[in-house]
Amino acid sequence: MVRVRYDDVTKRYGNEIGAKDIDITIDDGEFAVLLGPSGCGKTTTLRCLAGLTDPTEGEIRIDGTDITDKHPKNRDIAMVFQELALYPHMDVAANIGYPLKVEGVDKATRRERVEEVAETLDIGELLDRETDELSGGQRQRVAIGRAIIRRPSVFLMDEPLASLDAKLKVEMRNEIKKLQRELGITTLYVTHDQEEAMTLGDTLIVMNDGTVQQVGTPTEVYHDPANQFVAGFIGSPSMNFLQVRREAVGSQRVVAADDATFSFSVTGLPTAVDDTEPFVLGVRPQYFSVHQSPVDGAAKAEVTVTEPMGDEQLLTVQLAGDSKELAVRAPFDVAVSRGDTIWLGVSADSAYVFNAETGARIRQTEASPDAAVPTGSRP
Amino acid sequence: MSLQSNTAVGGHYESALLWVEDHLRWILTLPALAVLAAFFVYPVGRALVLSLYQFDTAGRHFVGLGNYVAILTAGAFWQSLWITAKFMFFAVSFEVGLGIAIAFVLNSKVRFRGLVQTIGLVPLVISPTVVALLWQLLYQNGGVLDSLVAPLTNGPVPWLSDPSIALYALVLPDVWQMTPLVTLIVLAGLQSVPDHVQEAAMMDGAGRMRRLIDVTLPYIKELIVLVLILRIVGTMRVFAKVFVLTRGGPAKSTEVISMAMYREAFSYGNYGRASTMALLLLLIALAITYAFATVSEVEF
Repeated sequence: MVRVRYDDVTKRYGNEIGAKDIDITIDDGEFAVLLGPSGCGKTTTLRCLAGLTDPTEGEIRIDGTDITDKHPKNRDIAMVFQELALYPHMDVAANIGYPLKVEGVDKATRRERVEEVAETLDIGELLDRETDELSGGQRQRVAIGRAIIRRPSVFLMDEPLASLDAKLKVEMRNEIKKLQRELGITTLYVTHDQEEAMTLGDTLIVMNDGTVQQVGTPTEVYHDPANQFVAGFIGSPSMNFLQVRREAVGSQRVVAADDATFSFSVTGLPTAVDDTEPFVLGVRPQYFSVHQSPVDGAAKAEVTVTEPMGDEQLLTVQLAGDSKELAVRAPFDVAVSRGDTIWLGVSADSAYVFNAETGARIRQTEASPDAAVPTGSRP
Repeated sequence: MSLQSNTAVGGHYESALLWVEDHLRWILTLPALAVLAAFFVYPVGRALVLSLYQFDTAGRHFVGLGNYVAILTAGAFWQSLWITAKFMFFAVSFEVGLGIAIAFVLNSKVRFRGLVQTIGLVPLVISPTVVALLWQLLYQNGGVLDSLVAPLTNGPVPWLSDPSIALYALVLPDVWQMTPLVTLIVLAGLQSVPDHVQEAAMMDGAGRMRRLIDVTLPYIKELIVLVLILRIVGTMRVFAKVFVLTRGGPAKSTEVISMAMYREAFSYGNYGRASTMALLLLLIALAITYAFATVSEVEF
C-alpha cells in the first residue's frame, strides 16, 4: 500500500505563489496526472513530493508517514525529468544501474537487474552504448529504466515526453501506461498536454494559478467540468464561450449579453441562472447542431473557415452581428464553404453554464425532463 | 563599350568571386596563420638554427649538436630544471588546490559572489612584474609580512635572502596572482553542471560526496586538466617574479630555467646555448601536456 497525501501544501517564492493549498490524495497504484498550462504550479507540486522543493506550509505523507522534511534520497521515490538528466559520462548500463550502485548492490546482481529492466524496455542491445549515441526515444527508455530499477514506492514523471515527436509520443505514452499497470507503482505525472493526460491518467488533477481546479477521472473532468477554466482547458478545439443573458425574465431564449445581436433557444437552463444578469454559455464544438436553412431557435452565423478532417469538418463561424468566432464540428456531408450562412442550434444538456464573474459552474438544480434537444439534429 | 567586352568583364568578376568562394577557408584563416607563423613558427625555427651555433667574441661558428651535449651533460641545467620543478610543484599544487576549493565555495550560493569574483580578477590583470614589485614591498626587511609573522619569529625573516626559503617566497606571489584564474575556470565548469542532473542523482539516492565523485567531477574533469596544463606550462616559464625579486639568487637557489636562459643570452651573449635551453624547455612542456591529456583521456 502506497498512498500519497498532500495536506494543504503551499509553496511561495518570496511574494510569488508557486502552489497554494494543495489538498489531494493519490491512492495505491493509481496513475494521477497533474495537468495545467505552463506556470500553473504543477511541477512545483511534483517537486514538493520529490523533496527537491521544500513546501512553505503543509505536510506531505506517504502511507501516513510525514516525509515533508526528509531528504529526497530517503523517500524511496524515483523521478523521470523533463530533460531526462542522463549521466553523460556513463554508458547506458551504468545509467540504469546507478541507483543500485549507490545502494551498494554488488556488480553481478546489478548487471542482472539492469539486463532485466533493459529487456522490459526493449533496449537490451543498447546497454554498452554511450548516451549521446541514442535517439530521443531510446534516451527516454533509459531514463525510465533508471527510475524503475529500484522498484520505488512512488514514481514521478515531469513532462517526460515533451521533447519527443508526435508519433513517438503516442508510442511511449502507451508503453508508460502499460508499464505502470504491470508494476502497479503509485505514479504522479506532470503534463500540459491534455490529450496525454486524458489517455494516461486514472485521475486528473487540473491546476491553474497555483491551485487545484478539479480532481476527477478523465471522463468526469471532460463531461462535468467544475468551472470555466477546466471546461476551456480540456478538449480540443476548446469549448466555445458566449457571454449571454436570458432574453426576458424566465425566457428559455438567450441573447448576446451586451447588444442582443444573436439569440439561441436553450431549453432547460439551470433555474439558478439569474433572470437579468449575464452569464457564460459554454458549448463544445461538436455539440452545436448545424443547419443550412433557418430553424426555429437556432442562431444565424457565417462560415469563415472550413477545415475538412475526413469524417468531419471543423468550421470557424461568426455569429450574425457579432465579432466573436466559434469553432464548430460538423459532419463531412454538411456541404458548406466559406461565406455560406448556417444556423446553429444548442441543446441544454450539452451546454454548460458558468458564472460570468467567477467562472464557477452553475448546475441544473432540478431535473428537467424536457431538457434535451429543442432544435435541429445532434451532430 | 561593346557587348562582348561587357560580357568579358562580367565573366572576370564572376570567376573572381568563384575563386574567392573556393578559397574562402584559406582567406579567412590566413591572418591567424600569419600571426602563428610570425610569433611561433619563425622564432622556433630561428632558435633551432641558433642552437646549432656557438657564440663568442670571435663571432659565431657552427657546432652541430654541441650545445645540446654540453647542456645535457653539465650539472647547471639539471640543477635549474630541478629548481623549476620544485617551484612548479608547490605553485601548481597550491594554485589548483586552493582555486578548486574557492570555486566550490563560490558555487554554493554565496552572498556577494559577483563582488568576490570581480575582486578575484584584480591580481590577474596586473603584470607579473608589478606583482613582483608589490611583493618586494611586502617582503621588505621589517615590512608588512614581517610584522604579520612577528609573534612567531625572533626578528625579521630573510624572505628573499635565505637560500632555504627564497624559492617558497617566490611561490607565494605566483599563488596570489594565479589562483583566481583556476577559480574562474573551475567555477565556469561547476556552473555548467545542469541542476537536473544533480537532482537526478539525488533522487537516485546519491549523497553529497557521491554526487561530487559521480556527477560533478566528471563534468569538470576536462577543465581541471586544462587548468593544470596551463599552470604547469605557466610556472615552467616563470621569469618576471624571479628576475625582480631574487635574480636567481641567493647562491643560485632560485635559478629557474628561464633565469638561466636569460643569463646565458644576455649576460654571456651565448645565444646558441640559450636557444638550446629554450628548445629543451619546449620539448619538456609538450611532453608534459601530451602525458596529461593521454593519462586523463581528455581531448582538446
